[in-house]
Amino acid sequence: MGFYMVTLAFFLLITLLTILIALFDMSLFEFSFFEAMINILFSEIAIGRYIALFGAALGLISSVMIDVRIHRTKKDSNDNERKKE
Amino acid sequence: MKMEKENISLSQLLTLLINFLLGSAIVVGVGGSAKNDAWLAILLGGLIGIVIITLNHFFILRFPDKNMFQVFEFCIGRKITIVFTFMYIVYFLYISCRVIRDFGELMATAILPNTPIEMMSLTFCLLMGYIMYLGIEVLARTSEIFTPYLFGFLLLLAIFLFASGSVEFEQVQPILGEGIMPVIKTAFTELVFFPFGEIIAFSVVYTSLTNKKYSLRVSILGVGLATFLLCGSSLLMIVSLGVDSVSRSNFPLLSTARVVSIGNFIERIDAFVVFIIMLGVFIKGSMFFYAGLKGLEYIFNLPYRYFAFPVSMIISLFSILVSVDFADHIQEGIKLVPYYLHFPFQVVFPFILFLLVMWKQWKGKSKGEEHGSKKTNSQIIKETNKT
Repeated sequence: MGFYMVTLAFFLLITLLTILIALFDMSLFEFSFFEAMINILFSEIAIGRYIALFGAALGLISSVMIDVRIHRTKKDSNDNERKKE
Repeated sequence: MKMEKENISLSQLLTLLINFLLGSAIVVGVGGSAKNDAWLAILLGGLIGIVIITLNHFFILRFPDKNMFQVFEFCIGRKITIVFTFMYIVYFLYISCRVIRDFGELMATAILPNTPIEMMSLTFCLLMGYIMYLGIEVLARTSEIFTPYLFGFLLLLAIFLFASGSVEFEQVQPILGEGIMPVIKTAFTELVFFPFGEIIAFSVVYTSLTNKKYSLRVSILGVGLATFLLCGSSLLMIVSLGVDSVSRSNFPLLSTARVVSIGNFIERIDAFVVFIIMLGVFIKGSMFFYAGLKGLEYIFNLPYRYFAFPVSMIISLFSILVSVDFADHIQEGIKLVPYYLHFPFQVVFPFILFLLVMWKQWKGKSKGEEHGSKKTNSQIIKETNKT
């Protein structure tokens, strides 16, 4: 597996869950896909919006940090193996 | 990357099952369509639940060291399994989001009306992320430690309700007033998916079980006890509030607790109910979260702990975005989720997997016969587990 897998998983899950929720909104409210996406993006208002975005940002930052740490650990273990050889 | 082997005991499995099944079912109440006979529908649903867990053991006994995703891989190869796994991950995380939303709505409307629901969801998910980072063992221990309190609080609630004189057994009558059909319909169209069908999330847990010999018995006991508790709470709600109030209330168990008043002194015992609901929601949300994480572990070949925190934040975000308000949330839960999510993921895909496993075993058997060696079923299963 390549690098930045955790971040990739983070974005993939956000995309897939957004699509699922949009599909449900389309079915329930008879929205078009575009309307459903707008409904998801702008349904949150005021302080709630910032708290939700803060959580998402926290998740994104942590996933990037985890990826960087995995990358470094792999790099260090590869360097050590090369030194042994 | 090396995956860590985790161990959970039978008693931990038992408590996890009980809390999982109570989970959000006790928050919103189940079997309401059967009205007075909701408790009968729950009993019938419990029997279906026992059948479901027994069917799940078809895979667990044949592949004791493989979770559902690995069994899929064994049958149809890794590439197609990755697609299936992604679908299951989205399903598990979506349900986890819904469970957290249930709890958030309860807290925001009944307990902490001035606190934003986003804040409660965020803090709850931070805790879930931390526990999952520590592993399923920690979640199982948490469940094991707190479950006796759950039993105690439910018992206290029942005693207080009886002591305050709020219980009228006439409210449960007429029993089967509209015949047996509403009970059967509720059990087979609602309870079979929610909460009993959701046991599918446990298909990733059994690989961590230390003693698999008694797993079926313990699982049946767990489903039985959860059914008993759900049935008891349903009866309590009906005999204290009456069917009409139960159907109108968003959180009937909480409304039931608010009825308690003994000598104008022991009142507002909401805290007991909130504790029961919080524990159930926490375990259920975390179990779905864990099932999703195991899927990610399978796809990316990285220990699931790496994904714990970022995915917990996704759950926090989508527990808010999943629906505009509580009415929308309930509508989605009744009209869409059972048909578009529960049915395919709890019935169709496991059935396909069952057929694939049978086909694989039959193929292995006929191959053995071609080579002149007659293999027994147990030998085929052993070889299957080696691959």
